[in-house]
Amino acid sequence: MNKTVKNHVGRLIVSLCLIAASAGALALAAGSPEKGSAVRSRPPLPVASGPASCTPPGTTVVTDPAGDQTGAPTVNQQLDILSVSIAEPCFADGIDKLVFTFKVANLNSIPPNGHWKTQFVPPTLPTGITAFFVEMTSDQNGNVTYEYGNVGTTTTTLGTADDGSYNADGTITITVANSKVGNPVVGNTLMQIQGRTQLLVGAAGTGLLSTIDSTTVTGNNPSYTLVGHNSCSCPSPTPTPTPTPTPPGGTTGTPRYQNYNPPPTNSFNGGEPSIGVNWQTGNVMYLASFAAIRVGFDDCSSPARDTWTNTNAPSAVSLDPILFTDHMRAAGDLTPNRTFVSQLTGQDSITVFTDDDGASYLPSQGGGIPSGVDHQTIGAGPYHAPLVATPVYPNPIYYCSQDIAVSFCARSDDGGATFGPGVPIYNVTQCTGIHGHVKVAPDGTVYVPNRSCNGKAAVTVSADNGLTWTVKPIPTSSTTGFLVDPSVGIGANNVGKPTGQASNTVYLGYQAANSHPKVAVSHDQGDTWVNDQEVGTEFGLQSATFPELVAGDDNRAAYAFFGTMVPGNYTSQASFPPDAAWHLYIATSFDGGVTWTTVDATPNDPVQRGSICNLGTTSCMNTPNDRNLLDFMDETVDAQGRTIVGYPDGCVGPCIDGNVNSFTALASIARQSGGKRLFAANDPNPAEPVAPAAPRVDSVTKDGTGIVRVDWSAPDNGGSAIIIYHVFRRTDPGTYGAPLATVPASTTMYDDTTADPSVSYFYKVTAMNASGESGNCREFPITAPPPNNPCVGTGFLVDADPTGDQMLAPMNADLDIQAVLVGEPVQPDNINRLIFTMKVADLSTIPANRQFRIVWTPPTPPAMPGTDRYYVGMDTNTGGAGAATFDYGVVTSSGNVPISLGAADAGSVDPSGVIQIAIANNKVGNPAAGATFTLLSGRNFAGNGNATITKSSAIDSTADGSYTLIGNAACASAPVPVGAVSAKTHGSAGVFDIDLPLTGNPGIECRTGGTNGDHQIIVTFPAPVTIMSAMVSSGTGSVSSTTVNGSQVVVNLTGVANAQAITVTLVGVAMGSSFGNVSVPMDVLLGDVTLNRSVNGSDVSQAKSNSGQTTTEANFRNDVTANGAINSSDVGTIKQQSGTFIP
Amino acid sequence: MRPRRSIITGIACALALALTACGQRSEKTSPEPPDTKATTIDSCRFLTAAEIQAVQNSPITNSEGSSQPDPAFSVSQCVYTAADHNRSVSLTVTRKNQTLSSAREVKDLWRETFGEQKHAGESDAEKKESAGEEEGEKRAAPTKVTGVGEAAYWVGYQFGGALYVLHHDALIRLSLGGPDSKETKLEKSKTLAQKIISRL
Repeated sequence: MNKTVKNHVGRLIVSLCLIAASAGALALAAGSPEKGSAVRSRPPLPVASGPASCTPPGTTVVTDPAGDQTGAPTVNQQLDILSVSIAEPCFADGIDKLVFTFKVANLNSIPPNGHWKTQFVPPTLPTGITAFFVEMTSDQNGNVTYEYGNVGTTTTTLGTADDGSYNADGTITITVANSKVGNPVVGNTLMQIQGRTQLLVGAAGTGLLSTIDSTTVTGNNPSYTLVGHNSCSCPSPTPTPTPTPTPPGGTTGTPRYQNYNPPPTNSFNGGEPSIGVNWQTGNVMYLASFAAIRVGFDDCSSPARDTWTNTNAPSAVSLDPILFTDHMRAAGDLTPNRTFVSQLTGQDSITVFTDDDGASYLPSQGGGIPSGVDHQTIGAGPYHAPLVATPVYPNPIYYCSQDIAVSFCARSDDGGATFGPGVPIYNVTQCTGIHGHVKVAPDGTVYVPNRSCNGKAAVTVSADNGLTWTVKPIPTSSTTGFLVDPSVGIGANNVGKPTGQASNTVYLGYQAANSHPKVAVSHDQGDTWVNDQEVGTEFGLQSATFPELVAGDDNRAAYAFFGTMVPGNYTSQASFPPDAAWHLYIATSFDGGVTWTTVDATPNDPVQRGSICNLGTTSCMNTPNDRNLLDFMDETVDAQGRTIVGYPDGCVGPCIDGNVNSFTALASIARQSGGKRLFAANDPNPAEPVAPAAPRVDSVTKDGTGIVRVDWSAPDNGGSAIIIYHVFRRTDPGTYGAPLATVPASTTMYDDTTADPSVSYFYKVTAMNASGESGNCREFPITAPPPNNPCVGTGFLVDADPTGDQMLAPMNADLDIQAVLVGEPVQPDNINRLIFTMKVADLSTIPANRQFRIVWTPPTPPAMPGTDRYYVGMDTNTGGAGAATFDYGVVTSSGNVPISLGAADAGSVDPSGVIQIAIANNKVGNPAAGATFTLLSGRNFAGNGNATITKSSAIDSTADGSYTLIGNAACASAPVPVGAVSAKTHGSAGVFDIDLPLTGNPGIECRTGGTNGDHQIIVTFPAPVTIMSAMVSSGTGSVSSTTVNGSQVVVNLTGVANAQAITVTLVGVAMGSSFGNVSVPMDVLLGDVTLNRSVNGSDVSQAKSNSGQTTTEANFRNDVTANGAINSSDVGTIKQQSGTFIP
Repeated sequence: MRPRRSIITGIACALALALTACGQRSEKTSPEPPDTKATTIDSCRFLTAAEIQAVQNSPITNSEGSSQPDPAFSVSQCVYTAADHNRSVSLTVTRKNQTLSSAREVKDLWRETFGEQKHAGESDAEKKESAGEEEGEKRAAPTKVTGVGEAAYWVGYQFGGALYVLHHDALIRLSLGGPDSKETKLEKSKTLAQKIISRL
């Protein structure tokens, strides 16, 4: 399971219980081990001339017979130790290190939860420590890490080894500095050297390590005396491949990032996203296609808990969306930060703005039909002197765009309600498109970056509030041949501004002619430029695109871009390697652009594979579409100085660890989690390294076997690698004590196998690095898993939608979609049928003239020409539950016009807001198991018979989800009970059960049911179940009551006739992913104590032989009166039944 | 701080209709001024404050002229600033720069912009991108306008648009601010364009 999927599962579990909440996505900037990194990425160890000890494996200190492991000869070969060797090569860094070579039979595959350990005793040991060790361990997925540690009363992993690798031939090499393992020096002897392999049995933290193989220790032997590496040739230090100097202070404070995506149940996609931050509320605003999203970050944990909410900004479907949040305010000015959302199409254009992060929008002047207009951008900042703020709004708003011939900017003095004329910003032959985002300096100077002005990257500058403009190129630049926007950032304050410099520092990031990322700096508003340099050279980047720049303090700026280390023309789908990985890189300068330090902000998760077409529309008509990311991304800074990048992720799911691009544009945010900020006032205090941030607990759920799984996300490491996690548990009520478990840094989940099902618990998680232990962010009870079983209940959750996000909220609560689900439970008539469920906030009153629609794209378009989707829906007509009708139909590919094809198979609505519509598969394209519905969404409308069901005209709609059919038949695999009994209380003797086998000869109930024929059947399952109902499916009798207690179902029967075969059926039993009916056969024959299906003398004789005894497990069948004693009444009863039998 | 031309001076200059007569020129010059012989157009002289106020319903308080170096044309811009800024007017006049060996004909530029010819030195991708084409998007073409100049087009954008007019060797671009409808702005632009043409 890749990390994205894992995270999504985690967020599903947490968020669904809260309906609107969504846990944050993650991708860790640091600390996550790379899968298979040992083989793929480790540089070779030094190979030097000299004695054998200079070159691994060095001196063999112990050998072990082959094939002596547990499970030999065929099982556990990967854990069959052959030898342990030690070498002491000379390393380029001059540090004394030991290289342990651990040889096993083979490592063709890595068994999960394995340990390959070499333990030894150096001459000097810390107090309480008896030995040190190095080891390779594998997690449950077979990912390996290399560590070292010590042994005292417990075995403690102290940290990551200096190096480690393994090969399929079974050779494991681990390097550790002498100083980390007792600091042995030349002449010292390592004693009691022992190799040991182990497998974890049970869960990490609580499971047991079972030894599979070990070498022999006798006294202090085997041993090894250190010889040092003076006799070895030492390799020359590897040249540092980093021409970009390291900022003053070294790497301390280098920014770290965490990545966030919307939850899969409320996903957003769109190329060329834009992003803004409200500095007053802290909310991030993100525009992905036509979805203007408010993203909240709760920094109690790390990653922050992120909540993505579609604000449903009024919009048309647009291919040129732009969003901008104006957060520049004079001190004391509390005017709300205003966010603009603008969309362009050929037929319409609209700009709206919001002062409450999308809770409500107001329209800007608009509606001009654009012609040849492109690349719109909006910016704002203070007025340039002598103009001052108007009473209407503190800042001028600039709208810039390409015209048919030139680019222009228009200024608004009323907060974007209306705009002045479009003033050209360069001559028609002076520059060619395209331009980047318009930015405004603190002094009101306006900058629009341009890709090519007379062949140079440039800014176009206005120092008079947009009335006149001057083109200012970077003389040393070379413009890119591709259509890549440059980006400008301007110091936001005077902190760090060079003495005597009048204006704020300008940073311009651009793609050079060789496609490399470059950035230049101007201290005089673009009149002159300095430090025009390439960044990211430490990564060997060959191409970069989508440059974005933002500045904070005058001498601090962050430069984000997509980069790849693969050479070639990256815009050519024909020639560029299709698996070439692109990552998001962010270069930061803390010295005014003199030096830049670049980090890979998505180290384990490419943002694209293969080509990225930056050639414009018609030159990018490739299949698959490698213009999926469109033309740019966006970057901003929050009030606390965090760099925040909004980017489209073109590589999700299998692409991450595979080699095929997904051609998506998943809404994504990289948000700074650690290191120095763009505002020095918000730098970490105390300086890093510090203890990690509190991990984010994503879910605490109990599975069907009672195991409680705690999932969390790795937090920011505080500048020092995380060593371990601690999982704590307390009862409710109760307090936390010592950690329940210690989990290695490579693992972010823990299975608690010791939880008592009858006890309520809370869990919390902390992280520890060399600087200390983190706090925890809240505590978490065990919650129910999300609805993800299409066989059960309302089915599989496809879309979760926030409550209260409908238009004119809190009005229209009846149209406020909370969830859309799809189910495929077993159908009594065996017709394949889909059950769609929509949950809305409130249908306690069902208004008239409402439309509820669930729309999806099938794998094969509908047969009706001009249509491409199906829908099911409910119309309320005149209002009230009785007036609701349910139908299904198709939707036209152009215009979103629904065409009804008839009534649905069934439909229901209840006051709690649950609408269910059943439709046979063969009415909606007859999809089979394995088919996937895409773009599945809910869309609710006011009015009946609307001509279109476009999202933009909906009162509420969900994001697009998908659902892959499993087929109703798959839901027919009923849970298998572990047993069923007929239970009866025998007076004070207690309860005794007669087994009721589900197959073979039925159990025979020989005890009386009393005058009413009452019996009780108990069916026990291996895990908790739910059932829909219970019934007597054959025979005479009926169910009087049914109770479900976890894994037990108790069915009370009445009216059960004697001398018959009866079958009790549990209908709709759901257990985990199993679902179906369970039937329990039982024969009823009073007095048949000998189990021969008839009552006769043998039964009488047996009862007599036990007469006078109290009822026990051994004789209870003879107590047919169930009174706790075997006596004449039982014998008499049996005699009365003599001659009866089961037909 | 750029000196602001007073409205009185502007009116006087406009009334004089003398392209080179005004003593207090306010064209913006770049750090490397172009051939001064080329900067003989002052767009701020083509319209009077009264004429603009008559169509924009807001007093004109200032005019700000500027020009930038150009290898082929003489380009002059002027923003007539209204008391209500949103009703300001932007005017650009482009003419052949007779003093340059690389001078080009304005009519060629017009054909390249509104006709079928490509921009010189521009790839197909660049041209189409700079022309605003997007994937699957069918943007409205510039609207042909009659009754003004030899040829004219209305180029709409989000908050209004610009009227492009070709008249002899001059290319005029007029953009009016304010909340008026496209139709109103077009009519107002035509009114002002006619006055400009009469003074070319």
